[in-house]
Amino acid sequence: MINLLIIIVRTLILYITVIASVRIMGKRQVGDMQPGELVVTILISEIAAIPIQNVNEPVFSGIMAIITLIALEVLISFICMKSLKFRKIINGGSAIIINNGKLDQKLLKQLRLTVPDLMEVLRLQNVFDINEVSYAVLETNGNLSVLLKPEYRQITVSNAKLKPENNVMPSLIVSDGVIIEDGLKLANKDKKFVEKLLKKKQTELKNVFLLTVDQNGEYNLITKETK
Amino acid sequence: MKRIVISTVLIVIAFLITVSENMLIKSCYEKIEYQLNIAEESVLNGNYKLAEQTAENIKNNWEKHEKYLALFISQDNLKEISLSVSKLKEFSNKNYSPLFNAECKQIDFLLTGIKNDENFSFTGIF
Repeated sequence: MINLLIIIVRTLILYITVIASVRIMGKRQVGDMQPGELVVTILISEIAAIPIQNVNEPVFSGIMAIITLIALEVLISFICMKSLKFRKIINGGSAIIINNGKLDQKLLKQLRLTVPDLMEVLRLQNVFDINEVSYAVLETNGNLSVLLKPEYRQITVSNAKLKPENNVMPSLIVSDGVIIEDGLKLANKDKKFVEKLLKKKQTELKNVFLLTVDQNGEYNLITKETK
Repeated sequence: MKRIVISTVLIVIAFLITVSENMLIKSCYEKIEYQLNIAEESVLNGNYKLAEQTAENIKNNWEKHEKYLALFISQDNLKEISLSVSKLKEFSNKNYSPLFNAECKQIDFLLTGIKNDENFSFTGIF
C-alpha cells in the first residue's frame, strides 16, 4: 500500500514537471514542431517514465534531466530566432520541390521522398493534379506548402475586388452558466451588459448554455435544454 | 524573453541542487568516515564499549543524512549502507571484531563509491 502511494506521489511530481516543461516550451501541435522540439518532447516523456516505473531511481535524476533539456531547448530556440545561420544548422532549411511548375527530381531523391509520397501530401492539401502546382515547398517541420498556378487558385474577396463588411470576432462570454471574464474584456462589455441582455431575454444566468457577443453588440444566446 | 528568464532560473536552481548534493555527500562521507576510523581503532584496542557507542553514532548520523541523500541517490545503494550500519552495533555488542571490521570496510567502500559516482569526471560522463 505504501509502495503504491509512493508511486502516486512520484507520478504526481513528474506529471507537474512535464506539464510545466511543455508550458515553458510553448504551445505547439505535434505536427508544427521543429525537429529539435519533437526530439525534446519525446525525450521528456521517456525520462519522466523512468523514475515513475522504478521507485529505486531518485525523482531528482529525472527532474534534473528534464530541466536541462528544457533550458537547452529554450536557449537554442532563442539563438535560432536571433541567428539565421544557426537556425539553418539546427532546423535545416525549407526545400522547393516544385519550382515554377517544374518538379525537382534531384531534390526529391535527396529528401528520400518518393513520387507517391509527394502525391499523397498534395492530395492532403486538396491538390489532385500535380500540373496545378506552381510552387511546392517542403518546410522544416515536414509540412508541404503549396501555391497553385493562378488559373487554379480560389477566388478571394481581394481579387474579386469586393468590399466586405468589417467582420469582428464573437467572444464567448457565458459558458454553461458561468461568465467568462476574458471574453467580456475581448468584446469590450461588462457584467451589466450580460444582466441587461438576460433581463431582456427573460432568462437567468444559470439557464444560459452559451452566449457569444462581438464588439458591434451582435449576440448569440443558447439556453440550456430542459430535461 | 520570459521563457529565457524562466530557463535561466531553472538552470540556476539545477546548479544549486547539484552543488548542495555534492556538499551533502561530502559532509556525510567525512563524518561517517571519521566515525568508522574511531570504531575500527576501538575494536583494535579491544574497547568494545566505545565501538558500540560509535556504531550508535554512525547509525544516528546515517539516518540523519539518508533522508536527504534519497533525493539524489538510488535507493538500492542507500539500502545496502543502511543494512551494514544496522549490523555494526550488533557485532560490537557481541565482540565479533572480524565481522565488525568487515562491515566498517563495506560501509566505507559503499560511501566511497557514492562519492566517486557523484564526482564530475570523464568516467562518470561516459
